[in-house]
Amino acid sequence: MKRIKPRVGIFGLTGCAGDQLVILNCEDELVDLASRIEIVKFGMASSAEDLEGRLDLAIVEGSVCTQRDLDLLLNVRSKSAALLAIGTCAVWGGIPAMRNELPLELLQKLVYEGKDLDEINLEQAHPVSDFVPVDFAVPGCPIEKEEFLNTLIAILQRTTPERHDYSVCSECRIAENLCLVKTRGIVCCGPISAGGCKARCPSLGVPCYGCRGPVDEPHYDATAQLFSEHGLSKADVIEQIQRYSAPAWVNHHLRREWAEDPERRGRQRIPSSESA
Amino acid sequence: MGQVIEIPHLYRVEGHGGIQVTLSEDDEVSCQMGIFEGSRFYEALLRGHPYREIPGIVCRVCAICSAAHALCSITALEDALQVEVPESVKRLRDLLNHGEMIESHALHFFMLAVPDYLGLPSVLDMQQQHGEEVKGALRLKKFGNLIQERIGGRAIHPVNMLVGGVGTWPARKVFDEIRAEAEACLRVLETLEPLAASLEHPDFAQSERNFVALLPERNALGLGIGRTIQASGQPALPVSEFRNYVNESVVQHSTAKQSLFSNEPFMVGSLARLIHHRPQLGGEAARVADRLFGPEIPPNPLLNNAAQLVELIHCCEEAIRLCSELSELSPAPEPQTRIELPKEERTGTAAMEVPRGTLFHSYTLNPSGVVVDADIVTPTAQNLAQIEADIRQTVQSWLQQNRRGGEGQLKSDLERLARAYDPCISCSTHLIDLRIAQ
Repeated sequence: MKRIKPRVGIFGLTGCAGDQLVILNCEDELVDLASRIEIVKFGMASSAEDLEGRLDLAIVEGSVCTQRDLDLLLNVRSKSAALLAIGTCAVWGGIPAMRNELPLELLQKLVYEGKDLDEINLEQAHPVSDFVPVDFAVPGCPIEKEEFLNTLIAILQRTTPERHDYSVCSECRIAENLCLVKTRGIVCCGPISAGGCKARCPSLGVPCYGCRGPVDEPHYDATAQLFSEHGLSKADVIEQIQRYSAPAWVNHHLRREWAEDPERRGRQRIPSSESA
Repeated sequence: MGQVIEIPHLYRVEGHGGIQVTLSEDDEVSCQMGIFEGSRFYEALLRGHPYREIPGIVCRVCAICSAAHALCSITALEDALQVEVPESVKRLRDLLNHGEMIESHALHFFMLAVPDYLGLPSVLDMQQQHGEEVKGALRLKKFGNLIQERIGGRAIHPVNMLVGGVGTWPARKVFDEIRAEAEACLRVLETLEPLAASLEHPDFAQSERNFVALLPERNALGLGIGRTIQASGQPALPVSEFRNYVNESVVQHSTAKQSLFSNEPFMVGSLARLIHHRPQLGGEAARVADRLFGPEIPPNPLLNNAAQLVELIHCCEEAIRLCSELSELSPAPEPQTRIELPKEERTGTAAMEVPRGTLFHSYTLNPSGVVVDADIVTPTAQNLAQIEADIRQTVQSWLQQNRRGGEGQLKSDLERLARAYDPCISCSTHLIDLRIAQ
């Protein structure tokens, strides 16, 4: 009996397309992968598309920023048995969600001289999970190739993909790096950021800025304690991680834990006559 | 009755865009290349961030051009901070830029553009008839990523490049590894040349155009950082004044702005660089250019694809040279140059030849080293006005030939035309001018 190949679609919402590019960067695996699944949609790589009928798996990158993004997401979810969110944009909102602190009207005025565009921007940039159930998630900016492939294989084999529930800090210690906080007094988000990147940045002497989003149950107080022992404050960390996955830190974790902290400096980014 | 011909979504390009052509009753043509990538308002969001955070944010404008955005922002910020990094660091950055160029061109030429010429929907469909070529192209692409991984610390969104230097200087064996693979890739490129030479490049647009490129400083084709820019047959201009000649405007059908060079549409990218700097080119790249183009290069935008092949060879040759020079450096230079904050508000600007053409970054820092003003103009944004002019021309010739091949033929011609520019749509939507009233 001929085995039917699983039907998989790859979809991009607003973002840098980096996670689709990571899939294209699987140079050694791509041809083999394409022979095992039926890729019904992969906008970055193919002009062919076959979206009639059900999908076994929808892979979604990017964050939900426009009405078009939202319509596509809802349509894709309604026809897919499972949804895999890839990249920090899809999982946590990512860089596009940096704008959530500022009113949309102001941004449009600053960037497009207040002119109306055909494209309708949503008031905020959202992670995919704000609108639809997400079955599997691979964070990362961009995703790590091996983690993506292992997750995809696990899904296709109907087993449970491995999740990285340890911090960048743990991986940094395994790599036997010198701690940037302790030895150089640099703000590093390793203790509260999700691992899986093998501590890429600290291994090069560059501090972690939490591009993979928060680890499960981050130890904020212990981290704050460590930082204060080296002359750094919570506010320094907040500054460092605010670039990435803002909804993750702000809505899901930070607001609850740290927002009331008087040290929270936040960013005075709303342009005013004084700051300009 | 008027008529609308629409390509709602342009595939095999980076990002989300489409083409709409409207014909009036008397066949008057109007056309738009729409970009409907969601806005991310980059430049507005850069304000208020300290300078050292900027490269890590702006590289996320686009994955394919992430090293370009990181390096261009770093150079512009160093200009604002009046920091001069050692020549060794500049060479390391050149090497990273070549890595991105190789990855991007291998991806675009073989995987996004060539399927058009062969009438196939994707590179995966080339597997049966052109299995060896696909294998070769994947090896080249992987080589570009190897450079980015080893030098930038990651294939996409580099982490090892910092304002004032690098995080960690690569070990000597890294340069040896890259040089060996570059030599192997040059042999792979020889095997790919017959496929490239067999492609025919119909000239849909048939119009003269302005080609714009930076003047070379660091290699024959001017790849990487440059300080002066030139349009065909015009005097060279300093990039620090780019605002005076690259004019941008907001158009309703697109979240990207459009640019004009001295009020004319223009074309940047591989073909522009080759047309400007071919006489300086040497090595195998020059010989392949002679075989592919003959003595004179016609101003046909589809030839941008072939010019990318010449650049692939040039980049591999340059990577060999740079690796030889860099591995001689022993001991490794001090990775970080000391940075002092500016005493008063200062603006820094940089321009760089990156895979799709000239990229401009400009930042104003306050005395705390915080960005108060940011401006990014990407190559695709600069090409948009020329792409629309070419689309119009193509539609007009199609009408003059009594709609030869029907609407299907026109659509596929327009797609090929737009794709030849290697448009990078994520990038083009972020070219935002943030010069608000101060």
